[in-house]
Amino acid sequence: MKYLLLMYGDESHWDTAPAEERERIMRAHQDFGRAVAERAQLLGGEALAPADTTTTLGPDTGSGRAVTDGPYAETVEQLGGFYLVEAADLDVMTELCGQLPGYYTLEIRPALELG
Amino acid sequence: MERAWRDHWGRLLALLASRYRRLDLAEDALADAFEAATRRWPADGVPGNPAGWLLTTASRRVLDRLRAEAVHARKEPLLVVDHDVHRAEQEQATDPAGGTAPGVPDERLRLVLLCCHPALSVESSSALALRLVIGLPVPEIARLSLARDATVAARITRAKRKIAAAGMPLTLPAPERLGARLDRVAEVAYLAFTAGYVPAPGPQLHRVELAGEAIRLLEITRELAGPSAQVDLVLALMLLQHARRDTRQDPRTGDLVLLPEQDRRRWHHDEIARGTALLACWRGERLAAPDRARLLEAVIAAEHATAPTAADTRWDRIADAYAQLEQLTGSPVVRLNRAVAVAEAHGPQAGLHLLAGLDAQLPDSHRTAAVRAELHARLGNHGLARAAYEEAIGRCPNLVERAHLQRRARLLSE
Repeated sequence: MKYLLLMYGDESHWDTAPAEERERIMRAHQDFGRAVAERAQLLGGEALAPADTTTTLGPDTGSGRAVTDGPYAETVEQLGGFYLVEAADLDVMTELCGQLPGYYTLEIRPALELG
Repeated sequence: MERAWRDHWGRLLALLASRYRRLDLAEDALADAFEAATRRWPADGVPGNPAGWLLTTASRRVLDRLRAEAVHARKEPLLVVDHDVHRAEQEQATDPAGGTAPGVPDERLRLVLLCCHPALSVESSSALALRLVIGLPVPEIARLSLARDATVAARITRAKRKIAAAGMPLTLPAPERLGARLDRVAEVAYLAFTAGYVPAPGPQLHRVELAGEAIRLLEITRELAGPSAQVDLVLALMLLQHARRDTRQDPRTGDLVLLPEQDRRRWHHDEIARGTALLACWRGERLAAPDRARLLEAVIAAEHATAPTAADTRWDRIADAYAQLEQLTGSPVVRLNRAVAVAEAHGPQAGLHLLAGLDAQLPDSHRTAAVRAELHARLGNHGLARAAYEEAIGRCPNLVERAHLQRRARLLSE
Protein backbone atom coordinates (compact mmCIF):
# COMPACT_ATOMS: atom_id res chain seq x y z
CA MET A 1 0.00 0.00 0.00
CA LYS A 2 1.14 3.51 -0.82
CA TYR A 3 0.52 6.16 1.86
CA LEU A 4 0.89 9.91 1.85
CA LEU A 5 1.87 11.06 5.31
CA LEU A 6 0.99 14.71 5.91
CA MET A 7 2.58 16.55 8.82
CA TYR A 8 0.73 19.51 10.32
CA GLY A 9 1.97 21.74 13.07
CA ASP A 10 2.19 25.23 14.46
CA GLU A 11 4.98 26.86 12.43
CA SER A 12 5.93 29.10 15.31
CA HIS A 13 7.09 25.99 17.18
CA TRP A 14 10.05 25.55 14.84
CA ASP A 15 10.66 29.31 14.52
CA THR A 16 10.95 29.78 18.25
CA ALA A 17 12.58 26.42 19.08
CA PRO A 18 15.99 26.54 20.78
CA ALA A 19 18.90 24.75 19.07
CA GLU A 20 18.52 21.53 21.14
CA GLU A 21 14.83 21.24 20.23
CA ARG A 22 15.60 21.74 16.54
CA GLU A 23 18.24 19.06 16.82
CA ARG A 24 15.71 16.70 18.45
CA ILE A 25 13.27 17.32 15.61
CA MET A 26 15.93 16.65 12.97
CA ARG A 27 16.99 13.47 14.78
CA ALA A 28 13.38 12.30 14.93
CA HIS A 29 13.17 12.60 11.14
CA GLN A 30 16.41 10.66 10.72
CA ASP A 31 15.09 7.92 13.05
CA PHE A 32 11.88 7.85 11.05
CA GLY A 33 13.91 7.49 7.84
CA ARG A 34 15.86 4.56 9.29
CA ALA A 35 12.71 2.83 10.61
CA VAL A 36 11.05 3.24 7.22
CA ALA A 37 14.11 1.77 5.47
CA GLU A 38 13.87 -1.28 7.76
CA ARG A 39 10.15 -2.00 7.60
CA ALA A 40 8.85 -0.20 4.51
CA GLN A 41 10.06 1.87 1.60
CA LEU A 42 10.44 5.61 1.33
CA LEU A 43 9.18 6.88 -2.03
CA GLY A 44 9.63 10.56 -1.34
CA GLY A 45 9.22 13.40 1.09
CA GLU A 46 10.01 17.04 1.66
CA ALA A 47 9.93 19.71 4.31
CA LEU A 48 7.90 22.65 3.00
CA ALA A 49 8.57 26.37 3.10
CA PRO A 50 6.28 28.33 5.49
CA ALA A 51 2.57 28.35 4.63
CA ASP A 52 2.55 32.10 3.94
CA THR A 53 4.68 31.46 0.84
CA THR A 54 1.78 29.47 -0.67
CA THR A 55 0.02 30.61 -3.81
CA THR A 56 -3.56 29.37 -4.08
CA LEU A 57 -5.35 29.12 -7.43
CA GLY A 58 -9.14 28.98 -7.19
CA PRO A 59 -11.31 26.77 -9.38
CA ASP A 60 -11.78 27.83 -12.99
CA THR A 61 -15.51 28.31 -13.57
CA GLY A 62 -15.08 29.80 -17.01
CA SER A 63 -13.39 33.12 -16.28
CA GLY A 64 -9.96 31.78 -15.35
CA ARG A 65 -8.49 30.98 -11.97
CA ALA A 66 -8.37 33.54 -9.20
CA VAL A 67 -4.85 33.76 -7.80
CA THR A 68 -4.52 34.45 -4.06
CA ASP A 69 -1.51 34.97 -1.87
CA GLY A 70 -1.47 32.51 1.03
CA PRO A 71 -2.79 29.02 1.82
CA TYR A 72 -6.28 27.66 1.05
CA ALA A 73 -7.21 27.68 4.75
CA GLU A 74 -5.66 30.05 7.27
CA THR A 75 -5.24 27.91 10.38
CA VAL A 76 -2.73 27.74 13.20
CA GLU A 77 -1.74 24.21 12.24
CA GLN A 78 -0.31 24.24 8.73
CA LEU A 79 1.06 21.56 6.45
CA GLY A 80 4.80 21.59 7.08
CA GLY A 81 5.98 18.55 5.19
CA PHE A 82 5.10 15.16 3.76
CA TYR A 83 6.40 11.68 3.16
CA LEU A 84 5.29 9.16 0.58
CA VAL A 85 5.75 5.64 1.93
CA GLU A 86 5.11 2.15 0.59
CA ALA A 87 4.12 0.02 3.63
CA ALA A 88 2.40 -3.30 4.24
CA ASP A 89 -0.58 -1.86 6.07
CA LEU A 90 -1.97 0.96 8.21
CA ASP A 91 -0.66 -0.57 11.44
CA VAL A 92 2.93 -0.49 10.13
CA MET A 93 2.43 3.15 9.11
CA THR A 94 1.01 4.07 12.52
CA GLU A 95 3.92 2.41 14.29
CA LEU A 96 6.47 4.18 12.07
CA CYS A 97 4.80 7.50 12.88
CA GLY A 98 5.74 6.94 16.51
CA GLN A 99 9.24 8.17 15.56
CA LEU A 100 8.13 11.60 14.33
CA PRO A 101 8.14 14.76 16.51
CA GLY A 102 5.33 14.75 19.05
CA TYR A 103 3.94 18.21 18.29
CA TYR A 104 2.81 17.28 14.77
CA THR A 105 -0.69 16.26 13.87
CA LEU A 106 -0.27 13.45 11.35
CA GLU A 107 -2.63 12.43 8.59
CA ILE A 108 -2.16 9.07 6.92
CA ARG A 109 -3.87 9.06 3.58
CA PRO A 110 -3.87 5.91 1.43
CA ALA A 111 -3.25 6.41 -2.29
CA LEU A 112 -5.82 4.89 -4.65
CA GLU A 113 -4.51 1.91 -6.53
CA LEU A 114 -5.54 2.55 -10.10
CA GLY A 115 -6.09 -0.44 -12.31
CA MET B 1 -30.87 -22.34 12.21
CA GLU B 2 -30.26 -19.94 15.11
CA ARG B 3 -27.69 -22.47 16.35
CA ALA B 4 -25.87 -22.51 13.02
CA TRP B 5 -25.64 -18.70 13.04
CA ARG B 6 -24.23 -18.66 16.52
CA ASP B 7 -21.72 -21.42 16.05
CA HIS B 8 -20.38 -20.74 12.63
CA TRP B 9 -20.97 -17.21 11.40
CA GLY B 10 -17.94 -15.42 12.89
CA ARG B 11 -15.52 -18.26 12.22
CA LEU B 12 -16.61 -18.67 8.61
CA LEU B 13 -16.55 -14.94 7.97
CA ALA B 14 -13.02 -14.59 9.35
CA LEU B 15 -11.92 -17.41 7.11
CA LEU B 16 -13.66 -16.22 3.93
CA ALA B 17 -12.33 -12.70 4.46
CA SER B 18 -8.77 -13.89 4.79
CA ARG B 19 -9.07 -16.35 1.91
CA TYR B 20 -10.56 -13.92 -0.62
CA ARG B 21 -9.36 -10.67 0.98
CA ARG B 22 -12.73 -8.99 0.47
CA LEU B 23 -14.87 -8.27 3.52
CA ASP B 24 -17.85 -7.08 1.48
CA LEU B 25 -18.00 -10.19 -0.70
CA ALA B 26 -17.36 -12.50 2.25
CA GLU B 27 -20.27 -10.99 4.19
CA ASP B 28 -22.72 -11.07 1.27
CA ALA B 29 -21.75 -14.59 0.25
CA LEU B 30 -22.01 -15.97 3.77
CA ALA B 31 -25.42 -14.33 4.25
CA ASP B 32 -26.49 -15.99 0.98
CA ALA B 33 -25.18 -19.36 2.15
CA PHE B 34 -27.08 -19.10 5.44
CA GLU B 35 -30.19 -18.09 3.54
CA ALA B 36 -29.79 -21.13 1.26
CA ALA B 37 -29.38 -23.30 4.35
CA THR B 38 -32.66 -22.06 5.87
CA ARG B 39 -34.39 -23.11 2.66
CA ARG B 40 -32.70 -26.44 2.07
CA TRP B 41 -31.79 -27.95 5.42
CA PRO B 42 -35.38 -28.35 6.67
CA ALA B 43 -36.22 -30.31 3.49
CA ASP B 44 -32.91 -32.11 2.76
CA GLY B 45 -31.77 -32.57 6.35
CA VAL B 46 -28.80 -30.89 8.06
CA PRO B 47 -25.55 -31.97 6.35
CA GLY B 48 -22.99 -34.03 8.29
CA ASN B 49 -20.57 -31.10 8.35
CA PRO B 50 -22.76 -27.97 8.43
CA ALA B 51 -19.78 -25.59 8.65
CA GLY B 52 -18.14 -27.27 5.66
CA TRP B 53 -21.39 -27.00 3.68
CA LEU B 54 -21.76 -23.31 4.51
CA LEU B 55 -18.10 -22.62 3.67
CA THR B 56 -18.29 -24.40 0.30
CA THR B 57 -21.56 -22.69 -0.62
CA ALA B 58 -20.27 -19.25 0.41
CA SER B 59 -16.94 -19.79 -1.38
CA ARG B 60 -18.78 -20.59 -4.59
CA ARG B 61 -20.75 -17.33 -4.30
CA VAL B 62 -17.58 -15.30 -3.72
CA LEU B 63 -15.93 -16.85 -6.78
CA ASP B 64 -19.02 -16.12 -8.90
CA ARG B 65 -18.92 -12.48 -7.82
CA LEU B 66 -15.17 -12.20 -8.42
CA ARG B 67 -15.63 -13.58 -11.93
CA ALA B 68 -18.44 -11.12 -12.60
CA GLU B 69 -16.26 -8.26 -11.40
CA ALA B 70 -13.38 -9.42 -13.61
CA VAL B 71 -15.71 -9.18 -16.62
CA HIS B 72 -16.50 -5.58 -15.69
CA ALA B 73 -12.79 -4.93 -15.06
CA ARG B 74 -13.44 -3.42 -11.67
CA LYS B 75 -10.58 -3.36 -9.24
CA GLU B 76 -11.51 -3.28 -5.58
CA PRO B 77 -8.85 -2.82 -2.89
CA LEU B 78 -7.92 -6.10 -1.19
CA LEU B 79 -7.76 -6.74 2.52
CA VAL B 80 -4.24 -7.00 3.94
CA VAL B 81 -3.74 -10.52 5.35
CA ASP B 82 -0.78 -12.64 6.38
CA HIS B 83 -0.05 -16.24 5.51
CA ASP B 84 -0.63 -17.78 8.95
CA VAL B 85 -4.34 -18.14 8.36
CA HIS B 86 -3.89 -20.15 5.18
CA ARG B 87 -1.36 -22.40 6.85
CA ALA B 88 -3.73 -22.98 9.78
CA GLU B 89 -6.54 -23.74 7.37
CA GLN B 90 -4.49 -26.32 5.48
CA GLU B 91 -3.24 -27.94 8.67
CA GLN B 92 -6.71 -28.22 10.08
CA ALA B 93 -8.16 -29.45 6.81
CA THR B 94 -5.75 -32.37 6.86
CA ASP B 95 -6.21 -32.96 10.58
CA PRO B 96 -8.72 -35.80 10.98
CA ALA B 97 -9.49 -34.67 14.55
CA GLY B 98 -10.62 -31.24 13.37
CA GLY B 99 -13.19 -30.74 16.14
CA THR B 100 -16.82 -29.80 15.63
CA ALA B 101 -16.15 -27.83 12.46
CA PRO B 102 -13.48 -29.64 10.47
CA GLY B 103 -11.53 -27.42 8.09
CA VAL B 104 -12.61 -24.22 9.87
CA PRO B 105 -9.81 -22.85 12.07
CA ASP B 106 -10.89 -20.20 14.55
CA GLU B 107 -9.55 -16.88 13.33
CA ARG B 108 -12.26 -14.75 14.90
CA LEU B 109 -9.80 -12.82 17.05
CA ARG B 110 -8.34 -11.25 13.90
CA LEU B 111 -11.84 -10.30 12.85
CA VAL B 112 -12.69 -8.88 16.29
CA LEU B 113 -9.52 -6.77 16.31
CA LEU B 114 -10.13 -5.55 12.77
CA CYS B 115 -13.73 -4.54 13.54
CA CYS B 116 -12.52 -2.74 16.67
CA HIS B 117 -9.51 -1.10 15.02
CA PRO B 118 -8.74 2.29 16.59
CA ALA B 119 -8.82 3.92 13.13
CA LEU B 120 -12.62 3.35 13.11
CA SER B 121 -15.05 5.26 15.31
CA VAL B 122 -16.34 3.34 18.34
CA GLU B 123 -19.88 3.58 16.93
CA SER B 124 -18.81 2.10 13.59
CA SER B 125 -16.85 -0.61 15.34
CA SER B 126 -19.83 -1.55 17.45
CA ALA B 127 -22.13 -1.95 14.43
CA LEU B 128 -19.42 -3.73 12.43
CA ALA B 129 -18.58 -6.22 15.18
CA LEU B 130 -22.25 -7.06 15.74
CA ARG B 131 -22.65 -7.65 12.02
CA LEU B 132 -19.41 -9.46 11.15
CA VAL B 133 -18.40 -11.28 14.34
CA ILE B 134 -21.80 -11.99 15.89
CA GLY B 135 -23.75 -12.20 12.63
CA LEU B 136 -26.70 -10.00 13.59
CA PRO B 137 -28.62 -8.79 10.51
CA VAL B 138 -28.60 -5.02 9.86
CA PRO B 139 -32.31 -4.44 10.74
CA GLU B 140 -31.74 -6.22 14.05
CA ILE B 141 -28.72 -4.02 14.88
CA ALA B 142 -30.80 -0.97 13.95
CA ARG B 143 -33.70 -2.04 16.17
CA LEU B 144 -31.43 -2.76 19.13
CA SER B 145 -29.43 0.46 18.83
CA LEU B 146 -32.51 2.65 18.15
CA ALA B 147 -31.16 3.72 14.77
CA ARG B 148 -32.62 3.59 11.28
CA ASP B 149 -31.77 0.60 9.05
CA ALA B 150 -30.28 2.92 6.43
CA THR B 151 -28.07 4.62 9.02
CA VAL B 152 -26.66 1.34 10.30
CA ALA B 153 -26.19 -0.05 6.79
CA ALA B 154 -24.35 3.11 5.71
CA ARG B 155 -22.15 3.04 8.80
CA ILE B 156 -21.15 -0.59 8.16
CA THR B 157 -20.55 -0.03 4.44
CA ARG B 158 -18.37 2.99 5.11
CA ALA B 159 -16.35 1.11 7.73
CA LYS B 160 -15.75 -1.83 5.37
CA ARG B 161 -14.69 0.56 2.63
CA LYS B 162 -12.25 2.31 4.92
CA ILE B 163 -10.77 -0.98 6.10
CA ALA B 164 -9.95 -1.97 2.53
CA ALA B 165 -8.92 1.46 1.24
CA ALA B 166 -6.77 2.42 4.23
CA GLY B 167 -5.07 -0.96 4.42
CA MET B 168 -6.24 -1.98 7.89
CA PRO B 169 -4.91 -5.52 8.21
CA LEU B 170 -6.68 -8.74 9.21
CA THR B 171 -3.67 -9.81 11.24
CA LEU B 172 -2.73 -10.29 14.87
CA PRO B 173 -0.71 -7.42 16.37
CA ALA B 174 2.66 -7.98 18.03
CA PRO B 175 2.15 -9.27 21.62
CA GLU B 176 3.24 -5.95 23.16
CA ARG B 177 0.52 -4.14 21.20
CA LEU B 178 -2.28 -6.60 21.91
CA GLY B 179 -3.19 -4.97 25.26
CA ALA B 180 -4.00 -1.60 23.70
CA ARG B 181 -6.06 -3.30 21.00
CA LEU B 182 -8.03 -5.35 23.55
CA ASP B 183 -8.68 -2.13 25.42
CA ARG B 184 -10.48 -0.85 22.37
CA VAL B 185 -12.44 -4.09 21.97
CA ALA B 186 -13.63 -3.73 25.57
CA GLU B 187 -14.63 -0.12 24.91
CA VAL B 188 -16.60 -1.08 21.79
CA ALA B 189 -18.35 -3.95 23.59
CA TYR B 190 -19.23 -1.72 26.52
CA LEU B 191 -20.72 0.90 24.20
CA ALA B 192 -22.95 -1.76 22.65
CA PHE B 193 -23.81 -3.09 26.10
CA THR B 194 -24.89 0.27 27.49
CA ALA B 195 -26.81 1.06 24.30
CA GLY B 196 -28.98 -1.95 25.20
CA TYR B 197 -29.80 -0.33 28.51
CA VAL B 198 -30.52 3.18 27.23
CA PRO B 199 -34.23 3.65 27.87
CA ALA B 200 -36.18 3.61 24.64
CA PRO B 201 -38.75 6.36 24.06
CA GLY B 202 -41.50 3.72 24.03
CA PRO B 203 -43.15 1.23 26.38
CA GLN B 204 -40.32 -1.35 26.22
CA LEU B 205 -37.70 -0.29 28.77
CA HIS B 206 -34.56 -2.03 27.52
CA ARG B 207 -33.29 -4.12 24.64
CA VAL B 208 -31.37 -6.64 26.70
CA GLU B 209 -30.53 -8.86 23.71
CA LEU B 210 -28.04 -6.21 22.59
CA ALA B 211 -26.34 -6.32 25.97
CA GLY B 212 -26.23 -10.12 25.69
CA GLU B 213 -24.52 -9.88 22.28
CA ALA B 214 -21.95 -7.45 23.66
CA ILE B 215 -21.14 -9.97 26.39
CA ARG B 216 -20.79 -12.64 23.72
CA LEU B 217 -18.31 -10.47 21.81
CA LEU B 218 -16.10 -10.22 24.89
CA GLU B 219 -16.48 -13.92 25.74
CA ILE B 220 -15.23 -14.77 22.25
CA THR B 221 -12.36 -12.31 22.60
CA ARG B 222 -11.35 -13.71 25.98
CA GLU B 223 -11.58 -17.29 24.78
CA LEU B 224 -9.19 -16.54 21.92
CA ALA B 225 -6.84 -13.91 23.42
CA GLY B 226 -6.67 -15.29 26.96
CA PRO B 227 -7.18 -13.36 30.20
CA SER B 228 -6.42 -9.61 30.27
CA ALA B 229 -7.41 -6.87 32.72
CA GLN B 230 -8.99 -4.83 29.92
CA VAL B 231 -11.41 -7.52 28.79
CA ASP B 232 -11.94 -9.39 32.08
CA LEU B 233 -13.00 -6.35 34.10
CA VAL B 234 -15.43 -5.02 31.52
CA LEU B 235 -16.81 -8.52 31.07
CA ALA B 236 -17.22 -8.89 34.85
CA LEU B 237 -19.03 -5.55 35.05
CA MET B 238 -21.34 -6.46 32.18
CA LEU B 239 -22.15 -9.91 33.59
CA LEU B 240 -22.93 -8.48 37.04
CA GLN B 241 -25.28 -5.84 35.62
CA HIS B 242 -26.85 -8.08 33.02
CA ALA B 243 -27.61 -10.83 35.58
CA ARG B 244 -30.46 -8.63 36.88
CA ARG B 245 -32.12 -8.22 33.47
CA ASP B 246 -35.27 -10.30 34.13
CA THR B 247 -36.23 -8.33 37.24
CA ARG B 248 -35.94 -4.71 36.09
CA GLN B 249 -39.45 -4.40 34.72
CA ASP B 250 -42.73 -5.74 36.13
CA PRO B 251 -43.85 -8.37 33.57
CA ARG B 252 -47.57 -7.59 34.12
CA THR B 253 -47.68 -3.81 34.36
CA GLY B 254 -44.44 -2.96 32.54
CA ASP B 255 -43.49 -0.73 35.49
CA LEU B 256 -39.87 -0.09 36.36
CA VAL B 257 -38.69 -2.18 39.33
CA LEU B 258 -35.82 -0.59 41.24
CA LEU B 259 -32.98 -2.62 42.69
CA PRO B 260 -34.28 -2.91 46.28
CA GLU B 261 -37.63 -4.29 45.09
CA GLN B 262 -36.19 -6.71 42.52
CA ASP B 263 -36.80 -10.42 43.12
CA ARG B 264 -33.27 -11.62 43.82
CA ARG B 265 -34.23 -15.25 43.25
CA ARG B 266 -34.72 -14.40 39.60
CA TRP B 267 -31.26 -12.91 39.13
CA HIS B 268 -28.91 -15.11 37.09
CA HIS B 269 -26.70 -16.32 39.91
CA ASP B 270 -24.40 -18.35 37.66
CA GLU B 271 -23.53 -15.13 35.80
CA ILE B 272 -23.01 -13.27 39.08
CA ALA B 273 -20.61 -16.01 40.22
CA ARG B 274 -18.68 -15.78 36.96
CA GLY B 275 -18.54 -11.98 37.21
CA THR B 276 -17.22 -12.00 40.77
CA ALA B 277 -14.67 -14.71 39.89
CA LEU B 278 -13.33 -12.62 36.98
CA LEU B 279 -13.19 -9.60 39.26
CA ALA B 280 -11.35 -11.50 42.01
CA CYS B 281 -8.47 -12.26 39.60
CA TRP B 282 -7.59 -8.55 39.32
CA ARG B 283 -8.48 -7.14 42.74
CA GLY B 284 -4.96 -7.14 44.17
CA GLU B 285 -3.17 -6.22 40.92
CA ARG B 286 -1.59 -2.90 40.02
CA LEU B 287 -3.69 -1.50 37.20
CA ALA B 288 -3.59 1.42 34.76
CA ALA B 289 -6.13 4.19 35.52
CA PRO B 290 -8.79 3.11 32.99
CA ASP B 291 -8.63 -0.49 34.23
CA ARG B 292 -8.73 0.70 37.82
CA ALA B 293 -11.94 2.62 37.01
CA ARG B 294 -13.44 -0.52 35.48
CA LEU B 295 -12.41 -2.53 38.52
CA LEU B 296 -14.17 -0.08 40.86
CA GLU B 297 -17.32 -0.15 38.74
CA ALA B 298 -17.29 -3.94 38.83
CA VAL B 299 -16.71 -3.89 42.60
CA ILE B 300 -19.83 -1.73 43.01
CA ALA B 301 -21.89 -4.00 40.76
CA ALA B 302 -20.64 -7.04 42.69
CA GLU B 303 -21.65 -5.53 46.05
CA HIS B 304 -25.20 -5.08 44.75
CA ALA B 305 -25.35 -8.47 43.06
CA THR B 306 -24.09 -10.47 46.04
CA ALA B 307 -26.12 -8.83 48.83
CA PRO B 308 -28.63 -11.49 50.03
CA THR B 309 -31.31 -8.79 50.54
CA ALA B 310 -31.53 -5.09 49.78
CA ALA B 311 -31.18 -4.33 53.49
CA ASP B 312 -27.91 -6.29 53.60
CA THR B 313 -26.29 -4.11 50.90
CA ARG B 314 -22.90 -2.81 52.08
CA TRP B 315 -23.55 0.83 51.15
CA ASP B 316 -20.44 1.89 53.06
CA ARG B 317 -18.24 -0.14 50.72
CA ILE B 318 -20.17 1.10 47.68
CA ALA B 319 -19.83 4.74 48.81
CA ASP B 320 -16.11 4.17 49.31
CA ALA B 321 -15.70 2.69 45.81
CA TYR B 322 -17.63 5.63 44.32
CA ALA B 323 -15.40 8.09 46.17
CA GLN B 324 -12.30 6.44 44.65
CA LEU B 325 -13.96 6.38 41.25
CA GLU B 326 -14.87 10.06 41.46
CA GLN B 327 -11.30 10.91 42.35
CA LEU B 328 -10.10 8.91 39.34
CA THR B 329 -12.59 10.21 36.77
CA GLY B 330 -13.95 13.54 38.08
CA SER B 331 -17.25 12.57 36.47
CA PRO B 332 -20.46 14.31 37.66
CA VAL B 333 -22.43 11.12 36.95
CA VAL B 334 -20.16 9.25 39.37
CA ARG B 335 -20.74 11.98 41.95
CA LEU B 336 -24.50 11.58 41.57
CA ASN B 337 -24.23 7.84 42.16
CA ARG B 338 -21.91 8.49 45.08
CA ALA B 339 -24.51 10.82 46.59
CA VAL B 340 -27.09 8.00 46.43
CA ALA B 341 -24.69 5.54 48.10
CA VAL B 342 -23.66 8.05 50.78
CA ALA B 343 -27.34 8.78 51.54
CA GLU B 344 -27.92 5.07 52.09
CA ALA B 345 -24.81 4.66 54.23
CA HIS B 346 -24.84 7.90 56.21
CA GLY B 347 -28.33 9.40 55.83
CA PRO B 348 -30.21 11.60 53.30
CA GLN B 349 -28.69 14.86 54.51
CA ALA B 350 -25.15 13.66 53.71
CA GLY B 351 -26.38 12.62 50.24
CA LEU B 352 -28.05 15.99 49.56
CA HIS B 353 -24.82 17.69 50.48
CA LEU B 354 -23.02 15.91 47.61
CA LEU B 355 -25.68 16.99 45.06
CA ALA B 356 -24.64 20.63 45.32
CA GLY B 357 -23.63 22.06 41.95
CA LEU B 358 -24.60 18.95 39.95
CA ASP B 359 -27.55 20.57 38.15
CA ALA B 360 -25.17 22.89 36.34
CA GLN B 361 -22.91 20.00 35.34
CA LEU B 362 -25.74 17.69 34.21
CA PRO B 363 -28.29 20.18 32.85
CA ASP B 364 -30.18 17.72 30.62
CA SER B 365 -30.46 14.84 33.05
CA HIS B 366 -33.58 14.19 35.09
CA ARG B 367 -31.66 12.03 37.56
CA THR B 368 -30.20 14.76 39.79
CA ALA B 369 -33.69 16.14 40.40
CA ALA B 370 -35.08 12.62 40.92
CA VAL B 371 -32.45 11.83 43.56
CA ARG B 372 -32.93 15.19 45.26
CA ALA B 373 -36.70 14.58 45.36
CA GLU B 374 -36.23 11.15 46.91
CA LEU B 375 -33.83 12.42 49.59
CA HIS B 376 -36.06 15.37 50.51
CA ALA B 377 -39.02 13.00 50.75
CA ARG B 378 -37.09 10.84 53.21
CA LEU B 379 -36.28 13.89 55.31
CA GLY B 380 -39.98 14.84 55.33
CA ASN B 381 -39.39 18.03 53.27
CA HIS B 382 -42.53 17.41 51.18
CA GLY B 383 -42.63 20.81 49.50
CA LEU B 384 -39.04 20.57 48.26
CA ALA B 385 -39.55 16.94 47.29
CA ARG B 386 -42.67 17.75 45.24
CA ALA B 387 -40.92 20.56 43.36
CA ALA B 388 -37.94 18.31 42.57
CA TYR B 389 -40.22 15.48 41.34
CA GLU B 390 -41.99 17.96 39.02
CA GLU B 391 -38.62 19.01 37.64
CA ALA B 392 -37.50 15.39 37.11
CA ILE B 393 -40.80 14.40 35.44
CA GLY B 394 -40.50 17.34 33.05
CA ARG B 395 -37.05 16.19 31.89
CA CYS B 396 -37.53 12.42 31.82
CA PRO B 397 -37.71 11.07 28.24
CA ASN B 398 -38.77 7.47 28.99
CA LEU B 399 -42.43 6.57 29.63
CA VAL B 400 -41.70 3.78 32.12
CA GLU B 401 -39.35 5.91 34.19
CA ARG B 402 -41.67 8.91 34.06
CA ALA B 403 -44.60 6.79 35.31
CA HIS B 404 -42.39 5.69 38.19
CA LEU B 405 -41.56 9.29 39.15
CA GLN B 406 -45.24 10.26 38.94
CA ARG B 407 -46.13 7.38 41.28
CA ARG B 408 -43.51 8.53 43.79
CA ALA B 409 -44.79 12.12 43.65
CA ARG B 410 -48.37 10.92 44.22
CA LEU B 411 -47.31 8.88 47.28
CA LEU B 412 -45.98 12.10 48.75
CA SER B 413 -49.38 13.83 48.79
CA GLU B 414 -51.19 10.83 50.31
